[in-house]
Amino acid sequence: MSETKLREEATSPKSLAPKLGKSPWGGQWGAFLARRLGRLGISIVVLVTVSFLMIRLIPGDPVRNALGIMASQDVVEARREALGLNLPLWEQYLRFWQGLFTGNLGDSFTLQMPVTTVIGQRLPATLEIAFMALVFMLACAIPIGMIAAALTRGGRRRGLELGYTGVSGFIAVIPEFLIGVGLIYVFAVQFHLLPVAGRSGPDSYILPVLALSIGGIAGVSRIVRAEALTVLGQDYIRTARAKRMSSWRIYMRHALPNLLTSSLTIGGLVLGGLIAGTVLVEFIFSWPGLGMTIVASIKDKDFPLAQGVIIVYGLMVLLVTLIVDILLVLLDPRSALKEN
Amino acid sequence: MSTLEFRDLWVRFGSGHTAFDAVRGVNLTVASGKVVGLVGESGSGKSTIARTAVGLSEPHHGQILLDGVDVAHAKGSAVHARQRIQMVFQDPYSCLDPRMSIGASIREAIDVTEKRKRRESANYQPLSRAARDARVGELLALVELDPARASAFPGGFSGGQRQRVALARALAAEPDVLLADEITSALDVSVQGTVLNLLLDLQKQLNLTVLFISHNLAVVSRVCDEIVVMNRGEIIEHGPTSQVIDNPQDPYTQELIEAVPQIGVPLFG
Repeated sequence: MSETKLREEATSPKSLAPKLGKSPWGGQWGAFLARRLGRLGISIVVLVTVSFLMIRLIPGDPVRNALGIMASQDVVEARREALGLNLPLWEQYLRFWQGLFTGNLGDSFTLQMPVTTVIGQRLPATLEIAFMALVFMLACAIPIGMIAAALTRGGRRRGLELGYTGVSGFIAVIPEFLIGVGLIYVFAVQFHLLPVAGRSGPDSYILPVLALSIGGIAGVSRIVRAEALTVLGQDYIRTARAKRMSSWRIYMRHALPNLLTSSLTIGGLVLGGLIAGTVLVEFIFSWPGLGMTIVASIKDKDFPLAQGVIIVYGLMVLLVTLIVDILLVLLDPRSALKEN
Repeated sequence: MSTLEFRDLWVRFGSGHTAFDAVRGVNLTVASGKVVGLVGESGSGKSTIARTAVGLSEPHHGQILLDGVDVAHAKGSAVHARQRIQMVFQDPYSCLDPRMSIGASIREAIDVTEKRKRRESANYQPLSRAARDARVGELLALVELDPARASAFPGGFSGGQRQRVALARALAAEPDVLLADEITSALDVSVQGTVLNLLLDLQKQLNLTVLFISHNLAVVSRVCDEIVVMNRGEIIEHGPTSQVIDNPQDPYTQELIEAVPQIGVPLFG
């Protein structure tokens, strides 16, 4: 028996696992990144084009709207000319792209300020609650889902399972704004524990973040539980139990990393919804973020501002999906191959 | 030198009103160096007892003691005591990893054993890589397989040969107790004989304590010192082999013995 051969055989099962290129920037990795970035570029072009067209297809005259019904026709015409709204659509489109590359999104009709300035002022407030809601959501959903799975695995505690799926399913389908109104009613109006709306002290963050994350917690924890149940039924978990490994170690080291990939995939989708949810939640809580701005700008036909905000929202969602995809490949290299 | 003892063992599958007790209050002692046969029909809980002893099922109630240490509820350093109990499974086709050479399968067990010895005594010198590879060859020779075939994959072996590989793998862990779960039921009669002789030789040579599970009374009576008869999760008869075979007390045991087919005697009529 050749000893070296035996050693080779001993390590052979590992070599059957799919491998990516050795350097993170070559081979499969490079192909994956190139493909992913190419798709990002296409998404951005679509996003910019759609946001440009959509806002112009809404009926009504933005200049008349901004100047009021008392303004004379000459003034309105002069203003239209100054804003370049009399140019053919394709030229407006080209100028729009030009502006994008030079960091100039035009001036807001209603606020008389550069759009970039408005976004700069409003974006941080939105990012704050979106980020806090995300962290809070994951910090609650993963433990809740795992505990639910551990308690109900293998058909144990049927009653608890029914109760959990019923309640979480119900909460997951309530829209954010209803949750928001409910939270305001209970905590602010009835018990006067927290401020009704606005962004003042640390306690004013609690209700908007809760309103944004509660639905996500219910939805994501259901997915985490389903994934955890699959993972807990695997042979390697049985082996770990046979080895008398502590339950904590089984759940943390053997189950958690294996359910993270699929949970993260869904988590990325939920995050897109969460960013969209900030629009309604900000409106309900009078939160001085981008959500308030987008509603006002569409209502007032403030083209440049609405376009700018839509693009920022779109970029946020695209960026999040990109980060999730890259994280997925880092955690589980097979997901880069699956895309082919 | 080890005694395996089951104390009031209950094993339950499912929960609530679908719960099923596969093993119901079994008390059984497998004395050191003895071969105890466990017989009974399908579903009587024989395999479940063995699986619970190695941790593949959880006991619902009761203890499994190896030299007085409860291996079923072990905590801390006692969890490794279970490594001294090894099992050979019923199906030689599914118990080996088809993507690992048989040498690698056995080598894996040797590596774990070396770790265990290191843990048990601080001044133990672990075997070198070459010595471990040599040990793979020794074990294969012990079960009468050609050591040169260590790098071959299980697909290239017959059922009886695979069962011997599984035996070698169990022995690589240097167990004190061996659980043989219907190890011959998937083999034809001529190969059965070879594997059984091998098991008996090794048992004497290594002074193993063996729990031999089978539904075949003819096999059990040849191999075992004592016979335990199980039915519906309970032990209904336990005694020395000759006593149980020649003078069965329980009606179920009598039925089992009468059911052994004999050549020249018609099955019906």
